[in-house]
Amino acid sequence: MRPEQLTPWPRVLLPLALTMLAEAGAWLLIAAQERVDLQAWFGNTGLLAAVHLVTLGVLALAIQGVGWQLVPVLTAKPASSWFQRLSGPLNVLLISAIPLMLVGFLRWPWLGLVGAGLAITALLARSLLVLPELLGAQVRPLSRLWLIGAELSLWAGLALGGALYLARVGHPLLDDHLGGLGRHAGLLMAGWVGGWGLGLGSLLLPMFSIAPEPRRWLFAPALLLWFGGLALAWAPLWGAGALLAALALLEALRRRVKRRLEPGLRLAMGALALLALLGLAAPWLPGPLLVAAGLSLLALPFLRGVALKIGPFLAWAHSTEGLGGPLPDAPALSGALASSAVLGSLLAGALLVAGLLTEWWLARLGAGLGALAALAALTAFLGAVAGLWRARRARAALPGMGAA
Amino acid sequence: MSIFDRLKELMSEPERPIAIYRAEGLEGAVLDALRTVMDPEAGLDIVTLGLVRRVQLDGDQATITMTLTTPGCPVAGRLFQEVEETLAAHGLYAEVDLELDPPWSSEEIAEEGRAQLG
Repeated sequence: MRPEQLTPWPRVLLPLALTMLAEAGAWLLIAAQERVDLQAWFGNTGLLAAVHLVTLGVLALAIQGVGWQLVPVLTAKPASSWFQRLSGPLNVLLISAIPLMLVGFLRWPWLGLVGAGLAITALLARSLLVLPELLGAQVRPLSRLWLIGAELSLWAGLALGGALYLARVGHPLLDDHLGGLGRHAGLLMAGWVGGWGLGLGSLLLPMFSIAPEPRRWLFAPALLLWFGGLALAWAPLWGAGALLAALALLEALRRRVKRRLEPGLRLAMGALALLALLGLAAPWLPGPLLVAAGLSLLALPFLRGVALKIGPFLAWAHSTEGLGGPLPDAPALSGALASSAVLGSLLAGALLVAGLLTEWWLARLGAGLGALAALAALTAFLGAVAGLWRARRARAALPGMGAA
Repeated sequence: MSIFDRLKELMSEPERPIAIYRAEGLEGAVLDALRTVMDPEAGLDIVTLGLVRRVQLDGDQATITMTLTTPGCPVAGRLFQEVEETLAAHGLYAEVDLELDPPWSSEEIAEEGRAQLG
């Protein structure tokens, strides 16, 4: 058995690089807002554009991109030929949907509709490819269940999104529009993005820090509470699941063998600690604030942390045929930029939440910082990828160190 | 299997195997040779990392039963190739058998490896 499962790098690394660009754009859109009313944020097209730039351009694109590589790793079996063949076209579909959605929100709504159609097609087609892979595997039942729950949340969240759109154009299907909006955001953010974050996190964080799997007696109830809370739209139940999930992963990481962690992994760990706090605060936080905190303090830093770790690893793996010894450290400048991006990202999220609660200028300051942090992360990512690629090529060219 | 049994299975921790770190005679020499094969992510050799479970020799044929830190690891094929090439340099035709069940655990890292990482 030869488990060689490297997905062609443009299908994984290109979407990851674009997510950081999209994040910088989203922060700039937020910084451009004069004022945001927490109770009526959904009427603000600039903010809606920023939110969808984050949800599609960052979160969905990151999940789709890393999924092409990590689903076969998670299931420990080669993916189906359809999964491999359609990954490129579905990336193109999703990437082209993002600017259309953006222009739709800001200028021509009909273009937004085209973009939404493309994005939904890409995401659901991807889901139809991913679900059989997850259901047909034998290993890591809990991580797979998190991802299966995430994919089911995506379908439910998009169906609700369709109903909300119909209400916007004068065909209301829901009695409670605001409640429906909350459920839509909850299913997509906590259900889909959160489910992927925790499912993949339970694979990647122990893998890269050489830690044991999360304890099942903690991680299994966390899963039931997390998705149960979302299905019932009951924040305290979801909060208990969030707390347990964060504790399960942090407890596993506490038992790690590798003590020195890269900035990306430290960022992901910081996001987990914040998830525990968010779980505790969930019953008391208003819905929009919960989504803003979840996005800016958890989802973005967590995904960026993972991207900063797996991007260079994949670049190294793709650069030659053989192994050629241990993975070298990333270039020093990339490391410093990644560390700055880590701090900037968390501070930006904290300022955004503070700005929503008190003075809006704090949020704008945070958004400016967030844009800088995203660009620093992109530079660090590209620098590390290019640095490792070059180091690997140079090593392979040395006499006696050639690629196998 | 009932739902209760499925839940019990989900909640229970998997069994842990014991890797081999030392052996006598030729098997020991094979293990020493395998100490030059590095796991790229951990930065440790595959023996210290606890990936090697059995070494069987039959003339110039060697069968190495090993596991992976991550089943489905995208560079696993290259690791096996390096094992085969390393042993080929010592005049052995090697074959790698992958054993994923029970899974590898960080508890299987040898003490010296823990010291190196910690």
